[in-house]
Amino acid sequence: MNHRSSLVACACLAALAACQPQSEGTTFTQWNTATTGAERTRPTSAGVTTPVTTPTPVVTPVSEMPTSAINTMALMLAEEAVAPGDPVPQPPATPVISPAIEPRVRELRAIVERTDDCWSSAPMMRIAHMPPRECGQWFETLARGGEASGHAIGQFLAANVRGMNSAPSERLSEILASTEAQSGGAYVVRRIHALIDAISAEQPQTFNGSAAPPLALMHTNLRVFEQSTGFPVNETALWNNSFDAEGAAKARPAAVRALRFWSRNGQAASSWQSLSDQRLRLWLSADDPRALRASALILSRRGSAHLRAEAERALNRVDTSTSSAEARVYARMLLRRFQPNANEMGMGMDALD
Amino acid sequence: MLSVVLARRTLAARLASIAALALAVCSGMLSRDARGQRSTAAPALRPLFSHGAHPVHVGRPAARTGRGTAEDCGECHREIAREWAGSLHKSAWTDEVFQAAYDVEPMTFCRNCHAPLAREGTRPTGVAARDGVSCAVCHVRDGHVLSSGSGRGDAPGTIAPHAVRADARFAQSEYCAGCHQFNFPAETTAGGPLFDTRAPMQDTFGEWQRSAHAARGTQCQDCHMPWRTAPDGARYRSHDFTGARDPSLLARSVRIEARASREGAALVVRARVIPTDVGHAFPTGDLFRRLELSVWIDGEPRRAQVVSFARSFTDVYERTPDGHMAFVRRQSGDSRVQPPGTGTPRESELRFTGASLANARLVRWKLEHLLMPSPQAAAQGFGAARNRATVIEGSTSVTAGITP
Repeated sequence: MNHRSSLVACACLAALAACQPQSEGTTFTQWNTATTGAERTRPTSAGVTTPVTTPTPVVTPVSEMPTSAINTMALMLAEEAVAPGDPVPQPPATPVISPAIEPRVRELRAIVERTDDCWSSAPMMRIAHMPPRECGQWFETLARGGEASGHAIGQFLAANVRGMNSAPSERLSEILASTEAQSGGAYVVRRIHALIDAISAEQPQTFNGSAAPPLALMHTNLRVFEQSTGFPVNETALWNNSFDAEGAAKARPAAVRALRFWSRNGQAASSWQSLSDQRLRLWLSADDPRALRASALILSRRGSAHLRAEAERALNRVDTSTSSAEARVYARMLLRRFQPNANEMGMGMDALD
Repeated sequence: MLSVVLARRTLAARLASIAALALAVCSGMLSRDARGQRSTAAPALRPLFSHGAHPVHVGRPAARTGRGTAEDCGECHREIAREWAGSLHKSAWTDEVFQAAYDVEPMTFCRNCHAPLAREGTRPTGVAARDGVSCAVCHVRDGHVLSSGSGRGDAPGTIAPHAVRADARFAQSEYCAGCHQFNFPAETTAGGPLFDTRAPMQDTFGEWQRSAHAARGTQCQDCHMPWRTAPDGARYRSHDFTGARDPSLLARSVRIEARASREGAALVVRARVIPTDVGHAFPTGDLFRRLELSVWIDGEPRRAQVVSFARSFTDVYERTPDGHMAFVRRQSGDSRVQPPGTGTPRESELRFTGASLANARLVRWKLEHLLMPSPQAAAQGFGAARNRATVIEGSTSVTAGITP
């Protein structure tokens, strides 16, 4: 699976290189170089490892470009590069819990702890366990918990940066984002901060040969951060297939970039959702195809409907006025996203994954 | 995390229900292999072990053996007692790796083998915890001292303070299977009774049965309890139960053939891990054990490429014998090194690229034995020093190979 993703990423790179203006060629050259080095190998069930050969560059039509390519486009909009050794910004303070919701936070925190049993395959366990029947109900309760859920889940995520299974934290992170709790962003940023520490503390060799929990958790959290704030930080193709020292070296700058963005903008925004809205509005107001692609990414992964009218107006404008054929393609893709039953008909952005 | 531990503790009670199934399996296995006893009249010896289904009931101590504790046995059997004191049988319960696992899944069937003298249904304490698999666990039943019959206690002219009842099973691999071969249990429903999946969680005996070692009659004891000579000249079976903690035993298990050559712009390393003197899959035992082969260009260890050799599992949602649907753990892959006589050597091809290859003259490699995947070890507080043991390491020169 990972190697298939790598191949897709390579194909995307080729496609991106083909469709970028000449002035941006340097960016792609550097990016491409960073992904080479020791080539990946593919172990078979028999323990035999065969190399994954570099595919012949293929130019993918924009209409067939997977979301990961769009993700890469979004990456280009990041304001600044981060070097591997750059300092880590200070994490935000732990959010303060209002006394009025404190008892509810405690109740929900207990539920969060119980959800650890909701995973049938816990890699550190020796037998398969049945998840409790209450799991669905627990997750629903958390999703409806608003600000109290934000604290309950956020506290748990910020404090637990180890463990074998990234699935529980992924589910909880998604629920945290869906609560639109104001405190959610700060907790996720604190978790990213703690994960940087965890990754830095690991010896590179300890990652080899098996999934590395801090890296897997970091991947999940940067994705949640990206979906929630609109800041394109999770350059998936760069490192999520590399759970080793190379992956760790690449994950850190991505995480530091997220922390920097939060330091600059997070405290001022009323919530991470408003931060995301600001960013989408900015991008939707531009005719720049790259900005539209970034918007496509965010909107395709984020279920918020309140920007729909605004997005539709902007996209119609792009579709009819812009001179860029590429921008029109993305505008149409985004518009299809808003059509009824888009996903069922395979017309939404998700269908491009 | 605490909640997980508490939730899993309830499993202890549930797992007791697997006892009947396991007992049925093991009783057949051991009783079939009972052979002639040399000394006193042969009694109908009960199965000695139950694959974890029950604690071990040794009955009353043998005459003139004190309380029958390891300390008492060591009064006379000094060498054996000293060896056992440093073995994993002695620390079967107290071993920190076992304890970390038991904290997560405190199951009855674990306890029944790791502290077999503890009372049923109780957390082991005292001697039962401290001595783990002690002398009496194997050698005492109902007032009799049991032995293979070929040790010093039976040597002509030796006057043992206690009678010895010979039991040929002591020298057979089947004897070890009593604890070192068992199946995954599974829950019929969330929190419900358990059933035997008939899928081995530990298959060491099965692996041995399929090996060339079994075909030529080499038993577990021949490698793990080799013959030794005491200071007084008497021969006896070693009781340090050497295993994966013994570097010499690890090193003799496999050898590696590695070739490194340039192929175009790449440097390609082909490595074969070939079983040599090992009578079971390597590694064997616990489902998390694995080998990792690291290969790197001399001077660039941080760019090492790693291949793992391990079992993999998947949880399958399937119908249980009583008609429920439940998750059952099934093995989905096994890339471990198989013993001679089964399978083929593991081959890996690793490809290095990059500007630094121009001057590469030497490729280094190291094969390590891991108790569990590194992230799991880190999560349980075990560093590489505790989790990893070097099996074999070496280097190979880079040959010209194929040039474009």
